[in-house]
Amino acid sequence: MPIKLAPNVLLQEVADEMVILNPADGQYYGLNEVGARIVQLLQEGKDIPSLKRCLLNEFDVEPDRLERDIHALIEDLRRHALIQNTA
Amino acid sequence: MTLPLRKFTLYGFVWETDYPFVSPLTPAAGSTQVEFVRGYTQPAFGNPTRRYVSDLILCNQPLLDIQDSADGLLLRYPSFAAFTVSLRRIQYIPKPGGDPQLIELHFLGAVTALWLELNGLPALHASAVVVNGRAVVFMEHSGGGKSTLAATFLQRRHALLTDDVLAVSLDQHRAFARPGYPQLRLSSKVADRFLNPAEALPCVHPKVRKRRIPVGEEGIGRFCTLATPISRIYLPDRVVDDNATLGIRRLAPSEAVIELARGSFAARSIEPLGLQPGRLAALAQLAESVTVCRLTYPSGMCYLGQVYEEVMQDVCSDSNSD
Repeated sequence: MPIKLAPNVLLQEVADEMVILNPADGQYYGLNEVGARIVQLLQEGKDIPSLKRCLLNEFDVEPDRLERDIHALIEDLRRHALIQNTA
Repeated sequence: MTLPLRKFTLYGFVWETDYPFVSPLTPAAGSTQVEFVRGYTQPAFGNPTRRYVSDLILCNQPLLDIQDSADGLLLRYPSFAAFTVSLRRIQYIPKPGGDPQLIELHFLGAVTALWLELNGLPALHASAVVVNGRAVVFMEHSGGGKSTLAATFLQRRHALLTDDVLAVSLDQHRAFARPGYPQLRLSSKVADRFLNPAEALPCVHPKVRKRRIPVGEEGIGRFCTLATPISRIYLPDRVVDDNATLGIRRLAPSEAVIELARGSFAARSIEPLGLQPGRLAALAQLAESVTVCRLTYPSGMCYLGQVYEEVMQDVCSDSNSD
């Protein structure tokens, strides 16, 4: 299912990483380089398969490992109400 | 009644005031940039456009609420005063029967911190000293040990830049710590170690156990009046365990930004005022230009000398590699 960032969520890039602030609860979240890139691609409207293709081109990572990491991060973002389904 | 005016510098600005400060503010000349003056009109109470209400309750009322007013933001401390805050003027309006000493205490804390943020200068809850011409910052909430660490450096001939509120300015490549005023605030027990007998020193407030420690000839160390490039920001982490190891760990950039945001003096009131996007960008720039580290050390005055040595070694490793 297509997903996008929740409204009002603030993103701030720092070096190759990213900080997310959810103004609804004042909580901050830090993302490493790969996590930051995943959120950037979500922001660009990429779906999961194209996001995965991009990351495989950009990082030296096994496809299975990458798939697990993507789904783990998306679940994490969803649990903290930082993303939502678009449909 | 008109009160006499005098000028002082604080965080790099020339202020003009009629307030009879007890704290030793640095006298200034030159054009006034900001006023801190008495207002005589009591602000309206119960305004429905409140933008922030403190969780802290004092005498059945929130300690502070913030609302819009014709003169700028209205910071209302129902128990003692109100402040109107705009970019070039802060007014204080004492509450009849309120404790006038609290006006200075809060002006030099939350009020100035919010004013700095409105002017685009991040205000951190931190103390800073000068080491080899660079500012070394200890950022922590009250009781975290930042003033004690600053005093440890002052005792070893380093200069103080600020205690409690650190104003940060940023240029393209560097971050600067702006000078506050020449005073430390320490508990009597800690103050005794640095300036004996501390009992002779005035209390910050009759209900606050901390004492005012003058910085300079009549007190401890010396004061730096120049904005100074920041070399390190340490997050002190005192561990109550004699077996705890002294250590310094550099934070990842995103972790550093989160800690800087949490360590902001007016962290809770910034968000409802809509200042967060701009200052998050400023904190990211700060994290990219300065090394932010967690400084872990065993709790106890006897360890402060070792902490000093460890920090000096860490800071000087930069100088050696320059």
